[in-house]
Amino acid sequence: MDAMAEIRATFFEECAEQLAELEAGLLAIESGEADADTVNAVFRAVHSIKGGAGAFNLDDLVHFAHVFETTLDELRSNRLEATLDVVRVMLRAADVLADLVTVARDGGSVDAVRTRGLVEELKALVGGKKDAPAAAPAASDDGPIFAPMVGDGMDGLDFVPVSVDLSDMMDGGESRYRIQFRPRAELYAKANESARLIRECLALGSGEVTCDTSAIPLLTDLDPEGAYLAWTIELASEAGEPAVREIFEFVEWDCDLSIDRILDASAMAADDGVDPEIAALLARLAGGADAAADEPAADAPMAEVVELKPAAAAAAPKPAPAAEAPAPRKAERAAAAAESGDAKAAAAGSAPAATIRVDLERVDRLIDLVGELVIHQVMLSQRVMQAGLARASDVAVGLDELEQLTREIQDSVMAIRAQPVKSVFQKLPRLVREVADITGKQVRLITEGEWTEVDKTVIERLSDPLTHMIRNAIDHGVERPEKRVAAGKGEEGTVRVAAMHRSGRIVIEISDDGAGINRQVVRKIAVDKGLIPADASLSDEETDNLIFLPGFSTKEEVSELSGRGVGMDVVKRSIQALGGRVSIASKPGEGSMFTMSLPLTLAVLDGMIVSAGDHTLVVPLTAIIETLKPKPAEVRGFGNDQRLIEVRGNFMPLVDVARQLGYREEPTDALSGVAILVEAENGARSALLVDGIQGQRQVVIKSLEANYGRVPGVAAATILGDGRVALIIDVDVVAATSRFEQNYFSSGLQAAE
Amino acid sequence: MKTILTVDDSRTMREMLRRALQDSGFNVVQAEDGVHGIEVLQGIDPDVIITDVNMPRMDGLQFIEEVRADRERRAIPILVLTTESDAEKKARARAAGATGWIVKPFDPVKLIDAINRVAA
Repeated sequence: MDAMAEIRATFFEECAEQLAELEAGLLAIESGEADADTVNAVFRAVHSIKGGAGAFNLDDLVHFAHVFETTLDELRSNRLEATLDVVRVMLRAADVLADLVTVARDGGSVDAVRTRGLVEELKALVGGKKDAPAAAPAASDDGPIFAPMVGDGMDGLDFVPVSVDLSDMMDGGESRYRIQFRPRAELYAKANESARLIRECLALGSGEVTCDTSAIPLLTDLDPEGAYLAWTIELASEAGEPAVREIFEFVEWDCDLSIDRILDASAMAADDGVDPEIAALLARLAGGADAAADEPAADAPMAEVVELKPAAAAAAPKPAPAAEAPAPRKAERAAAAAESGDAKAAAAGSAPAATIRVDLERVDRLIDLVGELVIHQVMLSQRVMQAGLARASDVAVGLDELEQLTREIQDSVMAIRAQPVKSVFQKLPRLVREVADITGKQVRLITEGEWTEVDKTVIERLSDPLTHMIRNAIDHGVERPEKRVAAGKGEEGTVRVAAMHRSGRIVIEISDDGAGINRQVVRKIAVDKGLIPADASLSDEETDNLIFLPGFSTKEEVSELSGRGVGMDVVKRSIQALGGRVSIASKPGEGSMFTMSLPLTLAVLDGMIVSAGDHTLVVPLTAIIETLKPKPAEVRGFGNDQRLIEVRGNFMPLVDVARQLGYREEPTDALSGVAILVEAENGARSALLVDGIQGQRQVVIKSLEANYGRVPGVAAATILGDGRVALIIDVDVVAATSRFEQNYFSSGLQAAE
Repeated sequence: MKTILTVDDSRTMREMLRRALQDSGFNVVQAEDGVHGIEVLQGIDPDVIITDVNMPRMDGLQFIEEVRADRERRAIPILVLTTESDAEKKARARAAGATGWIVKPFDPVKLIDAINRVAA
């Protein structure tokens, strides 16, 4: 990646942070918890995006951000009151801004009508305010945003191409200038220097400098920081007057300066007759330059002055120690986090944590190495035990300590990949707004535990199922306002999303206070679709869980917003793919709650260690429902080669693992083995027949693809304590290879328990 | 080699400055806001400071005032980054003691020119 592309990537990363900050700030304003700092942070977020976008010539983004910023400035300077309506417009503007950023990054197009509509709404909020720089772009929607700045342009640095070119064109030949320059003390106080300016003048051509020392007082009266010298520079240069003026651009307020063009009398005489016109033109240009330099100062908007100083004073009371200033704002977050009972959050919120950015590859390499370390530590321990050393011997005690340390290192390293779920949660307010808009419902979102941490990969893959469940909760759960009122509830429904750590997993609950699952309807759909027999007798819970069956959701009952056509079965599968589980609990009239639980990391796995043939295998614990010892009456032959096992009235395939993986030719004796009931990601159940169970432990996952190649039926490998490699079974594949027609009813129902 | 301290809360802007300045042979030290800038200044003596205006914790104007109030550091030229060529903003920057300014998005050539104009 070249340097510019890298900076561009940084810009978009930063945009994401700014957008999050923007939304969080606006939501705080909406709920009335905002202070001046929040408003400033919101303004700064948009301002920052605009600044960066300008550098990359992202004109649409710059344009919109500018309009947005102008409106926010009204808010910041208290000329606009943050009423609910105002904040809602701004929240929608934040959504559009986010879309524009996405389009700028990934290409594509935005909803132009929506964007233009919001531009109008934002401008309407500013109202009749005649704010010169903001009003000008308002005049032509599609015009370049920087147009008004050109008017301010004789400062030279202000706009890149114009001034220099123009002057070069005009001033073909050499001109002579008389520059009279008398600095005041302020000039030096701002670290400007006369000598440098004079040198720079002379660099434009050749000339003569005379210094007026008449103002120097007697030594006793001399202020060492005073300004007593004045200079006259007679300059002959090919550069135009703007180039000369540019040299003094930083100091013209802190000195007496006159720059006069000396029209060469002899040249005038030679070019008889033409010169008056040129002279007039030059005079006009010179005058124009002056006027342009003065004007903006005269009628510039007073917008910025008002707020900044007090805000700055509040942000850093006197020479504040570094960490203290942002505390008030962070404290709120900390308080919110503390409410949700997450101690880590409070710690994270209390001080701005020092951070470094590290390439993910390096972290993963470290995790890999620590995995090796754990394996070797276990191996070493086992060898020492085998060597017959006493438990209390120095070596054994030392090894215990090593084990402790190794575990700690492993946890710490895993923690590097861990991130708060906040990054996913902060997208939810927008989602809820949009879905509520489309469905015409009023919904309040409550998030809890946003600082709960989980592995980065889990976070990345959490977004889709979570989005779908929330959409589902609003679309199917929360009732329309009139219906809620009729049911004696408030017009506004509530969707609550809470994350927490529970027994080594992360649990996310999505609950709503809607109507709950309509079991008659669910049952009817399932019967109509042939998922259950018409006379099936189901408990309430079983009925609720029917919604997870493949084929349950189809276009008929998803409303227009679920047009993406994803059913809850897909949600369930994507959660299971992460080693997670999902369940639902519902009370008619009171609402529903989905609970999903996920592993904290994908680098280690809780597995059951089993033997099949001469091999040791690992079955992921999340896939296992139960293990049982087959009895003669339960095992039936089926077709040529297949066997079935009956478990509490349901038949499911008995998969001979040793045979399936080619470890053994002849069938494994079902009665001497163990059947492990597993559930595949699609909810299908089968029983894996293995020779025996060795134990259950956490194993470090080693990618087989990275080290060897893809093997069907094997998800990954691990190294056991005795140094042997054990394959981790891909339950889905192993179960599916048995050519058996799955019965979704029997398997699906229990899958949902 | 001249050392430039850049003070800006935007990583993007810091990186763009760093690249432009390093390409022209300057040594670059970065700070994330005014408070951080003051801290960094305890350890280095830059030839020029470039600062953003709108920053959290301590904005650019207050930062300039603090530098100008420090007897050891007051002579360091300070250039202010402004997003627009807003005369009002420039006036406030001047009042705070800024030596000059650079308009964002900046042209690297102009940036270096501005630095050379104020650097001894």
